[in-house]
Amino acid sequence: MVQYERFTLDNGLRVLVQEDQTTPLAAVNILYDVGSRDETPEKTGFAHLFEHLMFEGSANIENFDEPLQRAGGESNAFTNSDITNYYDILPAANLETAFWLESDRMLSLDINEESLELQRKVVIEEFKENYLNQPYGDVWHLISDLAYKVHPYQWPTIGKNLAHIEAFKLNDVTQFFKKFYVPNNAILVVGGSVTVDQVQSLSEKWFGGIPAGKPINRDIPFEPIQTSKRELEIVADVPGDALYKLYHMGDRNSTNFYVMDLVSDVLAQGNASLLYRRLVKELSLFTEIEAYTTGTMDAGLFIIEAKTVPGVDMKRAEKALDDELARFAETRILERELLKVKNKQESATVFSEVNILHRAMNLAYYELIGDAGLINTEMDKYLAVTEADVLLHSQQVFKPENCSTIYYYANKK
Amino acid sequence: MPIKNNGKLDRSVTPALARVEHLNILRPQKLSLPNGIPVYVFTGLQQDAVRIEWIFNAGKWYEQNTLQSSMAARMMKEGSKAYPSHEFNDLLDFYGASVKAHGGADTASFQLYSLNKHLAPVLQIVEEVVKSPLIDPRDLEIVTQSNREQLKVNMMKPDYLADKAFTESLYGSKHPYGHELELEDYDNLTRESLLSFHKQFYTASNCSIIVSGNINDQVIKLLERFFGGTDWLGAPATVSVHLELDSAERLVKYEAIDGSYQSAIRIGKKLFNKTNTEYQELSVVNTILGGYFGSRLMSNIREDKGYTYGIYSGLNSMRHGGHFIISTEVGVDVRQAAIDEIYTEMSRLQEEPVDSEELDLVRNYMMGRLLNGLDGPFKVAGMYKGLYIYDLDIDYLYSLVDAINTITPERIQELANKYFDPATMHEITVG
Repeated sequence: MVQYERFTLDNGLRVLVQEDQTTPLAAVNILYDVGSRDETPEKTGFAHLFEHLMFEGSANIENFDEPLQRAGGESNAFTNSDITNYYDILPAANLETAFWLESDRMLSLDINEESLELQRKVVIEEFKENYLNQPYGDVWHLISDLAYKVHPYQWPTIGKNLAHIEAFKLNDVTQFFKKFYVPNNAILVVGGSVTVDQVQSLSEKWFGGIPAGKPINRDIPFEPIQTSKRELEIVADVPGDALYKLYHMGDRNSTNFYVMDLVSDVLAQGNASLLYRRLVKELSLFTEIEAYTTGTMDAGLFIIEAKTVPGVDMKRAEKALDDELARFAETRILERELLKVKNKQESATVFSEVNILHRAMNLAYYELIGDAGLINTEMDKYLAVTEADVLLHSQQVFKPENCSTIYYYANKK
Repeated sequence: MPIKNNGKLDRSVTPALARVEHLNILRPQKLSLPNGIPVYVFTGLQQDAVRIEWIFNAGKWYEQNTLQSSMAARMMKEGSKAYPSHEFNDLLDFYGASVKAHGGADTASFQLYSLNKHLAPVLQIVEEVVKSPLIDPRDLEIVTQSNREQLKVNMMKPDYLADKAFTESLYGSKHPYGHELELEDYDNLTRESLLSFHKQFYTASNCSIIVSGNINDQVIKLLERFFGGTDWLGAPATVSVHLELDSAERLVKYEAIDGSYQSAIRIGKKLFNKTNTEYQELSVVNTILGGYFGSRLMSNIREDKGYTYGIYSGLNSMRHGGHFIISTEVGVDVRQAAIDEIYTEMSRLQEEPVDSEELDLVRNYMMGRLLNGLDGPFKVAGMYKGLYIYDLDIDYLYSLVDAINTITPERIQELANKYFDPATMHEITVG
């Protein structure tokens, strides 16, 4: 059981405290409810660039990292399609430094042309390093664009292209900050060697005076149901052929998510999984195969990716994969198989709770999706999945018309 | 009662800082199994979880053919005679346990993660795979094929190619520390060579065990039962000798790749491992130069020039050697400018004493990192592994704390002159 306390400041900031007196450290995690799904199609990649700007200093603090390092701490952040998450870990005795730093950058940023230019350059190098300068690096761009036609998940968090990142103006920064970086759009979690009283008074002191922003009305379009299969062929300088199959599925809070998350394990997690055994080991069609869900707040994807054995025809390998999925969706899986993936899930949950920072991040995310208590009760949702659920949901998801396929071919020079 | 904020908060005042003065490090409980295997126990975890790590002197250092170490370790995840690949993995999954296997420079390790409540059946499954893995020919073929494909991907990445060229320039491509994989290495791999490697090195006489998590007597009893016998005694690994390349001559090499967006830069030289008397002090100098986000290299090349997404320097330690390396990927158009700035920062360390404000920050930062790196039995066990293979103990960390807190600007300058002279650095750029 992860014990925690929860309260809300007058300005709408939600605060959760997770006491753990066995560590000398404190973890401070702030989740802002903004991600690349909040961008417009003409200005993509901004939520992530903005995350970089958050380290460029605020009204009263020239540089974010310097004072934190001086306090023996370290920080980092990540952005995805749904959220932007910042975290600091430092000796618990210096907890107030993190409050000072985090509250100042929520209160007001200090961004000028120079810092925007600089982080623009850094992000462009990040884009090159991860998406352009390596084999299959563009595949997330292709996946997003093929599977989503209306929803903002149609571009990856890094942005559609370098041109978008090159075009941002200082005015974009100001507007984005004013709209999304407000206490009523954030969740603060403090974990470690702290007390609830201490966190309550520090929260009031440092965050209490930050004015609330306007309520955010999201108007994110629903992705219409896909009614016919989509295909994309790519030929590029990569060492081998790869196949990507993308199926629409439910959002992070849906029953469909819990069922299909377990299904992804049954199908392709590890060497004892169904697809590995059949398609890699017995039929020698693929060298590796993976299945996973994107687990997004709006309707997500179930993705299967596989690399074909050199010399094997991709369409033939794909046919065998399709047959396996069709058979899977028609046959009840064994009770034991289900128990197995549930046991795996239980173990993964226990190990993920060892680290105070992971606990803090998980709490913030669960609070965002509706209930921080999920940190203790989510396992029940997995345990409730039945064989009949697996059958029903697999049939819904693994329909040919619900699938987009990318054939990624190696350029035969 | 919480203090209400009435708008009078002075945000320009930094909150007072507490210094991490000393560490209270969890020491291992040292035991021996009946057959002599040393066991180091780190307990105290609240969660009902255990990590067991078997460590063998079976790294690349002991190879007769390339790939023996990494592949012998890898094939332990493919089961044994009683529990072949599918059954082995299926049962581990069933108990929610997982394993990792890794062949490193000097040692190879097999790690098990399990909940306490399933440990007995899990250890029964794991016993045979540690003592005599099956290495089924078909499984070997599959793993080899998948690794080859991954290697082909890596061979197209400038960072992999730069790492490869760099370590080869230091130790020579025939040396275990200098050889990075080629596709041909897989052509010469045989099942027999892996079996014989396993038989020779994965023995009780050549094994240590580090156990961490929530450890009770039952865990130790299970280890005695499954791993304490004389059935796998074997002999300790004999120390082989490898000739190192004489890399005193500075190598500067640039390999262009058509159409590359970035160049991977590696700059560094051969040094020594963490048992050297100057290593701990040098690790402070390294931190200032490129060992953390606020380092001089990161501040200059990322945060001032915007040439890169990241740049780091580090001291790599192996049992029989070590080296210093700076790594970064930069835009191709700023390749030379970035290299120049790297050398500028090295020269600056040689020429000017570090001011007290920066040194104070680095001290606090390093102490905070240590506190974090030693938080909980899993992390201490990980840190301990990095010590005991050099015959070092927890006390090493206390002397590191001393080095962090007492090193002077003059000493930093002296060490920079001795070890971080740009004129002695190998420089490899790819892309």
